Amino acid sequence: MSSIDVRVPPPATPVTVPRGPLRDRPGGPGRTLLDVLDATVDRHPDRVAIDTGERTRTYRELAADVAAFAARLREEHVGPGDRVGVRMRSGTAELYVAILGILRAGAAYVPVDADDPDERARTVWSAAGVCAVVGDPPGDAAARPGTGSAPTNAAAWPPDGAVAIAPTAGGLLSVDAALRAVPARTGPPPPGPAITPLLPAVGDPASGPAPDDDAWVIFTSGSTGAPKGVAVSHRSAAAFVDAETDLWTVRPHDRVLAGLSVAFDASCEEMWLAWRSGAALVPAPRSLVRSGTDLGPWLVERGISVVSTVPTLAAMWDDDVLAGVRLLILGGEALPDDLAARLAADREVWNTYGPTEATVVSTATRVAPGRPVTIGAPLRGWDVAVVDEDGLPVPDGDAGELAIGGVGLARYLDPALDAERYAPLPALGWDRAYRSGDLVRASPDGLVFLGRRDDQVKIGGRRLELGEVEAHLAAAPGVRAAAAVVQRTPAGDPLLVGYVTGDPDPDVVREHVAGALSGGIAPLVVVLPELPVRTSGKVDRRALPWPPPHTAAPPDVALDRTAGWLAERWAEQLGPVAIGPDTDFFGAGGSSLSAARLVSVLRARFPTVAVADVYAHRTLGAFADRLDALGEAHEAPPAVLRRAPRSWGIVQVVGVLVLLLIGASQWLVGGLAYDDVVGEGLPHLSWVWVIGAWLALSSPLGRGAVVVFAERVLARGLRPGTFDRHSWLATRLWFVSRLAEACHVDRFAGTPWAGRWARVLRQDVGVGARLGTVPPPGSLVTIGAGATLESDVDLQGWWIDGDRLEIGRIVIGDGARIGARALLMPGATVGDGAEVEPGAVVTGDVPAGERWAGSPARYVGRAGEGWPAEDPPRPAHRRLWRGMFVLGTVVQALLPLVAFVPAGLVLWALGAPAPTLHTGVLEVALEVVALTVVFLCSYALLVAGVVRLAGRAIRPGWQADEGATGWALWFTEGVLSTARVLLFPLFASLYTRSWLRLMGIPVGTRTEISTAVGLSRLTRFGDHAFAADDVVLSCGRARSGWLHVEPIDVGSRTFLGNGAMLGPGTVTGDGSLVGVLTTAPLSSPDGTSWLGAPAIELPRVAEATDPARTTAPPRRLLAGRAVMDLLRLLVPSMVSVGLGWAGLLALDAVGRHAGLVWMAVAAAPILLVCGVVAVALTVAAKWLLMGRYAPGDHPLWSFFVWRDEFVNSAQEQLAGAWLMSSAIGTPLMSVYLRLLGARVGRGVWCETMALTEFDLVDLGDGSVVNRRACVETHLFHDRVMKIGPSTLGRGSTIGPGSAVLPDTTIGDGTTIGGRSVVLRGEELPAGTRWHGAPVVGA
Amino acid sequence: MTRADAPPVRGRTLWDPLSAGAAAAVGAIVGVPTPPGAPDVVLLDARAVPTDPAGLRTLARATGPDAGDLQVCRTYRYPFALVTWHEGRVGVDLERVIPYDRQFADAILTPDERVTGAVPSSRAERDRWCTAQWSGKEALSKALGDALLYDPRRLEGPAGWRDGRSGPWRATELTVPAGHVGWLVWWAGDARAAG
Repeated sequence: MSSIDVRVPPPATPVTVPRGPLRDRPGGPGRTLLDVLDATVDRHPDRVAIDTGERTRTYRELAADVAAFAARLREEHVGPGDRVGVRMRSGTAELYVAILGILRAGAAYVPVDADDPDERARTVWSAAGVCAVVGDPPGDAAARPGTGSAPTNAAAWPPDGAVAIAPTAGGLLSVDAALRAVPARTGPPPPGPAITPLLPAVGDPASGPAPDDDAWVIFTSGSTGAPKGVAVSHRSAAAFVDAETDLWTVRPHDRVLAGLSVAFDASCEEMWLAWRSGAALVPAPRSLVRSGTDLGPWLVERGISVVSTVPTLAAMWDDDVLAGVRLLILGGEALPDDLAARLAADREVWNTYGPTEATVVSTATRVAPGRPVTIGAPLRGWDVAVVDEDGLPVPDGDAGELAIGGVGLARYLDPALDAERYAPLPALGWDRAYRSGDLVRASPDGLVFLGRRDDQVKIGGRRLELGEVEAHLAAAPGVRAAAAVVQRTPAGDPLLVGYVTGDPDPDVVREHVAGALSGGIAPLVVVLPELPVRTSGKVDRRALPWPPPHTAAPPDVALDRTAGWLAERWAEQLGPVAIGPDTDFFGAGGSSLSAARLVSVLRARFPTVAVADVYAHRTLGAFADRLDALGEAHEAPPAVLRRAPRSWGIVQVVGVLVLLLIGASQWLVGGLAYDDVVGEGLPHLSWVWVIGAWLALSSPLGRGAVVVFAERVLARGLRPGTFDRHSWLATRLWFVSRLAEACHVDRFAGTPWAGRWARVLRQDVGVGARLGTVPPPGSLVTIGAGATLESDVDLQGWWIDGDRLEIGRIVIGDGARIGARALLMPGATVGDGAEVEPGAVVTGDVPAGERWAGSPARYVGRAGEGWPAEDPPRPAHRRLWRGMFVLGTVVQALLPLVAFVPAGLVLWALGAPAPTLHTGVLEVALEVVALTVVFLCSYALLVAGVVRLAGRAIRPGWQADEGATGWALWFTEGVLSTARVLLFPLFASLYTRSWLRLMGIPVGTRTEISTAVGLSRLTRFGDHAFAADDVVLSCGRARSGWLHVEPIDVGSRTFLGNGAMLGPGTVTGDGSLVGVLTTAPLSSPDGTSWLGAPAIELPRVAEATDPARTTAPPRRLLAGRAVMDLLRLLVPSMVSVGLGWAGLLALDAVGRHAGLVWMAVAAAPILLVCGVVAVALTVAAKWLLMGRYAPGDHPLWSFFVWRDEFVNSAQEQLAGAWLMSSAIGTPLMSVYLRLLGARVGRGVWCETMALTEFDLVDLGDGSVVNRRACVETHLFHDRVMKIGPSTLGRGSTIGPGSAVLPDTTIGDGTTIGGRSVVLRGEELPAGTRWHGAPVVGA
Repeated sequence: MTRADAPPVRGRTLWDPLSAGAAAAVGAIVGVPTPPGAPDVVLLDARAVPTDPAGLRTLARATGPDAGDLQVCRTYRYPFALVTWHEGRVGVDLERVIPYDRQFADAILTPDERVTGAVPSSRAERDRWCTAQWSGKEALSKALGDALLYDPRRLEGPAGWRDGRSGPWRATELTVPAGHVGWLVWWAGDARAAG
């Protein structure tokens, strides 16, 4: 029977299945196993039936012993219908005598392996309802591990359950003793293992078994863990024994191995191979069977010629030990092709298949080398069919489940289970069929076993057949035997593991399997000396070692510290696969999910690692390098930070006084001029001296000279490097920086002579450079010829990082372009002709000719892309427009002064004299109110007028940068930048929209605009839009003389976060959001949200808000806000004007009483007093209006928000304007913030005024907030002010221009790089470094 | 879900655009119910063919429209795959439920989600909840175009969207085979502006 008949179904009805030929049922009414045995005894009475090595029994002797033991059982009333448990050591003749004796008594035997745990015996026998148990003698039992000296069966009793237990007083009776006792059983039972009667036997001892009586009940291990009892009748068993004689021939002189546990139904095949043919059954010691390999020599020694076993065991035997085996019957596991070919080369080999539920073997085929291995065709009397889930035959050649019918069908003891699993197959006309759960397909060579349906496993989302994996493993070079299982990694993920024996190279095996399996799945290959096997001879999968004895990298690959550690983390996700430096995470089975899980683990040691790092650095080596670059979490700063010497603080305070003196010079000149006009008491100073003093102390040239002098003295010998933050050098740099700002040395930025001005300031600027930003004094900057710098580029070249002062040279190549608001960190180099886009942060080198963008900056294209190749046209009236720049500079400077003219006229018209020392306080107060109101109105109107007028020159398109549009953009922004200081409260108010409309800037209804930069008639806002502080709307971009201008459209209901940047041509859709420090995409669809540089779309859930408090306020709220905004606009300004007036009068008094010299000396102290008063008033306003800030939400149209805005205005116009803007970065700043309720530790460097809800600000000891950084404690998304705390740990650093959003915590010693964003709610671990918008590990 | 209780696929005739190879496997493809206005989603079951993972991918690639103006997204968890297509951007994800792990949850949830997300108390629900959070974010990041750009800790997952809406984006959890979770995210705004 080497092939199977396959019926080809008609094409139109593809429902029939390939199946074996229905063979004749065994003849007649059937017979019993005893009939089989008796026939053999009759034919071969003197041949050896059992040979244990110690003793042999002939068939005649065996028959006698069996009869005697059966008689003993019958004495216990055991008979047909009874079940008797058997649990005896293997390898003994008594075991077989017991089995046959039970059969002879007419009962069915219920075997339990002697090595199985007692619990299993208890379970099995309870389920089977055995009436007696046959066990080993106590002495023999002692040899069995784990049972001590107790009798075998006694150890398993009493079983749980409903079985009544009735042990006899006589205890146990061994088979030997039973045999001896049979003639005259008198007196006490002999000692030793025994029959233990348990239940009253129900059988008829006088009769033997009938064909339909059960021969055995064998329990299989169900997948659910509950053993299932399978009862096999004598008819089925005898049919099986007889059917096998159709397949092969066993001769009387053969010696048949009995190596399998009798608890395994394949043992029946061993027994009856011998007993059906008069051959000798040769039991093997269990220890040899367990080892597998050692059983080989034993086969030779014992002259075994017929073996029925599992492929795993056979694979362990060399050809020489199998030399004497002429018939090898394999089953129980899938037979690999290579093994089949090896074994079948020199002997007769059969591959069999059959579940216990269909009596040992259902199909079989002769194995022939070179032919595909199948499980063949059904035995005589068995039927098979390949069916689908619905029990319908599958088309020819398709895979399906193997259903078995015919004489071999057994039954489950559990009737419900029996009904389920032996259900009819109506489509085939079978009343009873067993659904095997095995997947097969028919082929011309027979049924091809595909694996267990429940042997399918999922690895990496792919379903595999373990049998298929094992077959490929076994076929790999050097592999003798193999088993595949799914283990669990420490992370809980399934991992395919192949255990092999032999002398294979694991890598070769792995590659072999990967090449054979679909999807390239490769198991972890573990080489073992031998595979553990169960009593059945099958591989004991549970005993396969896990974790394996050796894992991780191949032994010849040395992994360094980080890589080695990382390999272990990979193994937790991927399993302990062979990992080398070049192993690809995703190639080794990783998925996006496992990548995320990996990162969640890595962050414990490398807190800054991101999921994107796994994708960007896919191999182990590259990823390890990335981790090293990111660095581990450093230890937190020491408990006591090194404190700055008090002297530097004192020096800084002195520096603040000097800065006030510089400011006082202008003020002094103003006072003298005023006195010349009013003529009240002061020694008259001619206008020549007044103007001379202005030129020397207040004019751009004079102040430029002061700055140059200060820089040459204080920044002498400045060089790149890392220095102590608490040093004289840091103090000097701080002072030069503050001085440059106080002297407005950047006032000529954007003009045609900015380059020359920079050179006047001793900066290294090449010929033809166009500077929208003048390099600040105290920086090491080189700007190449023809380079273009747009506005507000940060070229400082130094920053404070923790305890260090980092200074670096910045080099900008010839013809390079640096976009607006770009930040060039110390050491940055921009190559010739390169482009750095607006808002970018450069920390290293930008190669020549490349275009970089983003924070941190990265390559985005070639420089010059999108720019005209030719030179720009020479602008018409170029000289005129150069003159306009001069005029514009004058207008910008004089505009605030001009605005006082109407105020003076009003006072004059009202008949109010100019205040003097003799003017009454009330009168002065009234005059201050009038002056302030008129000044603010006239200045606002003047600004609106000139911006509107100049704005008409702004034209979109490509043009020369020194033409009308370039001038108009420069001029209007210059005017507005001053207005943002003097008219600060007018922004973000109810009046902003009307004012901007006056300027010709289109602004929609209810749109809120704060201190936006770059407003012009080309910047259009829809209705209900919102622009937060410092939004940059840059309609133009410049490069090499070209100016490209395009309008910007901000959609209705769109929100622009703090510092957001919109470039020329940007169109944001309605209802969209551009986050903090985000570079808006050129075009954003309606309703989208964007974050970062470059911006990525980040959908968000908008807050559900009350329109009445956010977008459509009722009249009463409109009126309330109108009043509050008016107060916010007027009160701080009035106080400021009043302070100025009071200071001026005080200065006047000093001059009158002490002379001009003392007047000049007193100017700075008087300013300091004014500043202190301004700070005190600001602090008072905060506590009176706001009390203590607390986290919470407040809609835009609420009194809370209006009060908060009032305090902000007070800070800007009073504390900041009079004192603190000069004191940032000094200990005075810490004192100020503490007065406002902030928690500020010792030695804090805070170089910004951008703090608002002070009680929610926590700056740890030694923390650093660099220039233009922002510690946010609120956001205004959805027009709701969400307030939350921001905490900077001890020794932490916020880089220049960066923003920390509310609800964040920056760990101790953690550093945030330049122009970076820490998103709301994020907590950055201690000792880490971050950079980018939003931040990623640096 | 079995074929028997699978709803008919709405909208266009599903099989018209299919390749011959995919049509041959018609029994392995069933429609997945989605809300009105949502893109069509089909579930492919390799067991019904049966086929291996590579075959499943081939089948999935052959499934869907052949019109060039539709965007197609596929996800695989053998033996299943989901395929969806839409005029605008669309993302679909299918995950096998994994055990809940606090460390992993912290690595994928936004600060708000960590605060407001109610972690179920029962183990099974917790496993499913956590996997669904991830799956929703995966589907969203696919729809957004470049999943690598997105740190899940910064991506508000659609599991937390009110009514499955976020601006022009829509999302829904899919009915998928037991032991799995699946999410669909699609662009419901102007298709021309969808990028």
